[in-house]
Amino acid sequence: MESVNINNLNKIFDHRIRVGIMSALSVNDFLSFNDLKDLLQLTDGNLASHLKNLEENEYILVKKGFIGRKTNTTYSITKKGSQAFQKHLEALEKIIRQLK
Amino acid sequence: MNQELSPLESIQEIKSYMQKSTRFLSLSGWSGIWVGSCGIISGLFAMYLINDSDINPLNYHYYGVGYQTESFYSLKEVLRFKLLLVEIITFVVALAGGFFFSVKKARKDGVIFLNHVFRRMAINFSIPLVTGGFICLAFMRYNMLIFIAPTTLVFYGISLLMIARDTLDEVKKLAIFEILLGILSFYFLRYNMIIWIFGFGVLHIVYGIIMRNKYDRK
Repeated sequence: MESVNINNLNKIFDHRIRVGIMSALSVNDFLSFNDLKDLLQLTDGNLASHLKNLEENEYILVKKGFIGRKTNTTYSITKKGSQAFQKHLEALEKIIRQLK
Repeated sequence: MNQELSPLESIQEIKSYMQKSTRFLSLSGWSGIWVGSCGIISGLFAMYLINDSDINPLNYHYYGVGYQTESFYSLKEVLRFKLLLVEIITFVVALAGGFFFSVKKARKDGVIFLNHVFRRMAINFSIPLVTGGFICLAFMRYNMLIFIAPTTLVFYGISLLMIARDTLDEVKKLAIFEILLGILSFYFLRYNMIIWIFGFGVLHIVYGIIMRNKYDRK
């Protein structure tokens, strides 16, 4: 029997908002701040702090741009982020299999 | 709100976000029924206009060089104008109704309607549709009205195919049926209005009813 290693779970993905951001970015080339806000139904400040955290961990890439005069910031997943998220998912799956 | 998630909740949440962020699921069954009804009415009206005019555009041999007399052309002009008007009105009414029912469904499901998936869909859908539109205008210009119905079917099918990836799987089947009917219609020009009514009218209504039974009634 495989042993469950809780350490394989990524601490950064403990939080449902960060999980939400990573899931959405893992299946889209890029998403804007507003896309993420609509998807996760969050306030600006709340979303921004979690995006900052992911950015500091180099899991996501931030690109600032403009649409006319309005800022349009888009986010995409980095290679490091996608690998970390994949690993986290695999760890979750293993735990679920053990629970059954 | 509980911020900590159990592994099972995590997986479920991840799945739902992946789906919500890539798929547009607000196409309502009623939209299909509405668009289909518009299609039938408009198709029958167009057939009436064609039969009512003294020329018979269903006979494509008329488009030969020998028939380019002045009276033939003036009759054609009137019919062409009437048909164009019917087409534009149908397009606007069908689109508005289809939109209305989808917005309603999105609101009921608590989804933001104009999200990034919808914007992507709108662009992907429009490119083949506009292309087909210009080809139809060219056919009109050269008085080849007979080719318009098959062309609209084929290009509408391709438009649907372009967005099938972003929405319900059934859209792909509908798209393929529309394309096949379009091709068939090119070869059986005599029946092209009947095929058109079947493609835009009956197929949409069938699709709408299936979607309603499958997704809307929950």
